[in-house]
Amino acid sequence: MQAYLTVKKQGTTVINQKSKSFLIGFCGLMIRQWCQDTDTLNDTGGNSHSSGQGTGIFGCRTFAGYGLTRDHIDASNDMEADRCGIVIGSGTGMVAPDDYSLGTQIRSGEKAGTILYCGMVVYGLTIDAGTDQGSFKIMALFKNISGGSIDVKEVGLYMQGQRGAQSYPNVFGYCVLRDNITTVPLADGEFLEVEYTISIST
Amino acid sequence: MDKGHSVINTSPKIRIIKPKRLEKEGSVLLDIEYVVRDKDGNEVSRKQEYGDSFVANFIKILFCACMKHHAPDTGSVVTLTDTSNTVRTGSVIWAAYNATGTYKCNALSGNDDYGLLVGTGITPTDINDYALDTKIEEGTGAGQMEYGNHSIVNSTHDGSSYSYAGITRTVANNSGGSIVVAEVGLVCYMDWDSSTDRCFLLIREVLGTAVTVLDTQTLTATVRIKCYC
Repeated sequence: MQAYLTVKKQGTTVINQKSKSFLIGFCGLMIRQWCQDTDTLNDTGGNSHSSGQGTGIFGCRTFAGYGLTRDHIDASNDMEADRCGIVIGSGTGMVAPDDYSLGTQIRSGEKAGTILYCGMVVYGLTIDAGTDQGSFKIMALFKNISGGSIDVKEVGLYMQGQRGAQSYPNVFGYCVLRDNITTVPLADGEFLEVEYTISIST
Repeated sequence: MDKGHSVINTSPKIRIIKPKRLEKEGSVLLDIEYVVRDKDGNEVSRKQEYGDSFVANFIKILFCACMKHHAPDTGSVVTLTDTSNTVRTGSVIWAAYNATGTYKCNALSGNDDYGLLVGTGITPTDINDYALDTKIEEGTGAGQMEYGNHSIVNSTHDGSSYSYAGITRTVANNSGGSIVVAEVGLVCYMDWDSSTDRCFLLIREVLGTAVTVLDTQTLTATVRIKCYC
């Protein structure tokens, strides 16, 4: 399984590369499900959780804005718009397999140093029996309305993990992908589109 | 047929087998280990292979889990094929109503419906595979093996380039004869199209070199999901 990263600024592709960094969060979340057993992972805040399987695992579709956004399957899973899904940052540190977050995340907002997270979609599932390949896409849109230019230097993907049945409100974000990218300066008023293509090939 | 090879399809059914290069950087690979032990628990042989044979069901479930797919409540649906070759149309909404969620693979001992399973088939993996080629059935009769419980390999990392976690299961050969294990599969058990649990193949690897398990010996197979950066 691999991931490919495309970044578009104002509709023009500026980054198109293979993602280089699946992280411990992905194998940890997967093994909790496979084994229905406890595994210890750091959430995106660096807090360690020894948790088992859950119902909302791998969820990463978030909604526009900032503050809490609604999880339509389970309202108790509400999370902040920039705590799950595709995230952007300004950090430049080397990626390590146990990274639990971006180096320096750019939070969602309208104030100086923030970029508005405009929502995310998961789409484009395809299975090609001819080439034995399958894939789907996760795409997020961002707009800089902070009043100044902001450099985007890293992107990543946070997925949801939780403990127990649907009614359990213990939802956390876990970092599963983190990529350093060539700096993309985003001026006030400009849009950024970030898309990961997750693919398998047997 | 040596697995660890990729398959290029040509129209309509001819297949050219060429050596497959598994690129590690940025990939999620399957690190599969087999340990054969005698009846006293002494290690007879050990072998490790890398693969990447996630099949269509795996990525379809991940797709739905990522989007927290509401279907069939909202009418949008995804089809999986269960291990009986029956197409099931549904979504993770049913798994969300069940505390186990998606991808449950920890079958109990004696259960060969799901979990880590072994077989004797050698047909190269196809993305639309829905079951092992020739599953070894649970039992002590000729050609059968006894499946044990599963255990977890907790997530860990090497500090620089990879992380991994895994699932382990031991199968015992008390059939009275030798059995050649040539394929391994991981099958999950989950709600998809209703509140009725179904079995879906997630992974199927045909071994580069088959493993012979003599009568009274055990085979412990570990499938690690290994993330490279």
